[in-house]
Amino acid sequence: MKQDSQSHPDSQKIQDELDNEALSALMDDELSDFELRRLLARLDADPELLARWERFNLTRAVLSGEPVQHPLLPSDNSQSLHARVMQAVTQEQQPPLSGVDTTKGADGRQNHWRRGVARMAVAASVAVAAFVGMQSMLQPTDSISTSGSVPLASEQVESGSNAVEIRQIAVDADAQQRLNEYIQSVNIPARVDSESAPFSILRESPMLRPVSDRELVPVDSSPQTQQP
Amino acid sequence: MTNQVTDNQLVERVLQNDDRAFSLLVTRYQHKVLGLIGRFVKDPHEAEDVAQEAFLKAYRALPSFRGDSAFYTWLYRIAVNTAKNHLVSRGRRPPSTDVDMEDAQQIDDTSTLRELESPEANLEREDLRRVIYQAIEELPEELKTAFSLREFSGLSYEDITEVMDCPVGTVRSRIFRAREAIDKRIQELMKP
Repeated sequence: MKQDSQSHPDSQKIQDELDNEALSALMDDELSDFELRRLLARLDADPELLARWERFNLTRAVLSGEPVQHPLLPSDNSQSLHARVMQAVTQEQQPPLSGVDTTKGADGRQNHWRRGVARMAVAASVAVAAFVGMQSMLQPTDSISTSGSVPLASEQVESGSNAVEIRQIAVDADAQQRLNEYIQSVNIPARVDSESAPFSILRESPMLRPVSDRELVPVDSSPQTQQP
Repeated sequence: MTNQVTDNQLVERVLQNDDRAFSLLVTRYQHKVLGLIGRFVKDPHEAEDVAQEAFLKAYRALPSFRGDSAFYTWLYRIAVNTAKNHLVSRGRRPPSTDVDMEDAQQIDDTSTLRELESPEANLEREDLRRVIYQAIEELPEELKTAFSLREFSGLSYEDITEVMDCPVGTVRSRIFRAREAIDKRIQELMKP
């Protein structure tokens, strides 16, 4: 069933010409990837393309003396080998019923519904990770706030625990900078009126203060305790 | 004549979950696969069942297709193994002489076809062959030359542009027009 064939007969004719010429080029290894994707998309709109592809290949098979099975049967014959294979392929992709061996037919190829679930799981994981990361970023860290002074990333610290602290500081500073840039780049609508919340309100927020304070702590020149 | 570029393109599309590309591959190779399996399984209906199974196996195994060999070589290997396994499962012995893959790639002897085809199918085939050659003969000279250079000599479009001294777009168009004219005659033959 061709789409819009009655409303735009001329454009439909041009489209048919383009499709058929692309099909011919595909026979000859002369179709670009872009054209192929367009042609495959057209297969849904115009099933005649598949029938024509079959006849093009049939012609080549006859010219080269290859076997041809009942060549004059209609190409949309539901009992044709092609129809049977594609029906089996379609069944292959359907979700398995309970009690059915789910491993069959899944050799390296996942079903669509499985992929959908997997994508949702990944998306949920990313959202949770982002939330947790945001929480930890905005909360003061005990190890840092109780240490009195915060070592800078340039200081040489060999111990494992201190190394972790330094890495944490570096990440927080970077995250803080990105967060600031993000906040400055967006307008957050106020709940009551239509005015956007001023950035200064967010900047003065106590949730942001610990991170900002850390950046302002003067460098402690006393040597770090070395662990054996 | 190789179809390797197109086949690899289609395989790539299938691996990106576009089954329409597999549909094109099945359509392209169903006759050859059926002919190959017919060397092992003489009953036409049984051969079709085995061919269907072979295509399904190929579909499942497509992610493991590395492109080291041509797609059709890979597909024919699956078809031969499927046919042999089918015979063994039925308690029959596969042919002692193995089907060479080089041979399998060029199934062009019509004796196999005649063994596999019913008399009606053979007649249909002869009718089709006659109509196709007649249509080619009636093509305008430029279309006939372009089509023949491509279909019988296996020249690329680029090579044909040099032979015919015309742009590649013209070559592509001429070959398409030739196929279109032949296809029109085939469709007339297929009308009930």
